[in-house]
Amino acid sequence: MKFLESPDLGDPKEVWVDWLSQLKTMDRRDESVKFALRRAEAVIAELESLELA
Amino acid sequence: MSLIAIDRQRKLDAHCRTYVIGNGKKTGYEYLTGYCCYTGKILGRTTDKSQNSVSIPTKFAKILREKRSRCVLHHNHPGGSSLSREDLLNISRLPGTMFKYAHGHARQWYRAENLRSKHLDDCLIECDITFLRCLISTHGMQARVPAMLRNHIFNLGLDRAKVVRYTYKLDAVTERLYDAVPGADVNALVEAVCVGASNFRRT
Repeated sequence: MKFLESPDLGDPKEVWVDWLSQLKTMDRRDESVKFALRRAEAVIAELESLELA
Repeated sequence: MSLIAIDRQRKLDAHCRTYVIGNGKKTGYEYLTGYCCYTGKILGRTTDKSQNSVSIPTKFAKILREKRSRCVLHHNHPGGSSLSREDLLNISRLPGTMFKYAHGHARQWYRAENLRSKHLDDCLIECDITFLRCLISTHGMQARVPAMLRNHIFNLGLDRAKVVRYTYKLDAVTERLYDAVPGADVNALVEAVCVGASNFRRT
């Protein structure tokens, strides 16, 4: 289990996409990594919907 | 079994703080340590030699997973930001963690108390979304709210929504930075987190 620090909310989508790709290289069985992946995907989806709005 | 005396806890807190800040300042990496409130023993000391993550050794995690354990964790955030969502989630998954501290290198600290909330992961993501919408949709807010304060404001919202119990002490520089943020922005963001928590409770 890791204590990770994701990018800040409000950082550009590219930063989150880069973070997501870093997470995908980590051990996905780790609960913290699993959560960080879910969170990064949710934030990217929200940023995309706000871009469209 | 009784907990160690408050004076002893304070000494252990000071020892842990010195370890994480001292080493963090030297190398720029995150460090983690902690102690057991029953025995007063240090659980371990560790670093991943990374600026934005630190792993909990298996032996350490085994004690923290025990519901009957009462442990305090200390780690440093070289950038000085407050506890991250991942930090909060880990303490809910490690029920033996009583408190978790994040220390900035300018001696600011942030502490979350484990309220053993259920489904904290879903709740945090819901709050993230409402916080993000508020931050991005409110004209000029992103420029007015510095990135290093966003976790802190988010955690104030979680405390208001009674998702975690959050305490902190800011250093002079961070406090000036915080004071410069318009109160209306802080209130709106705190409220956004409360809305997220409330949406989560309704589902």
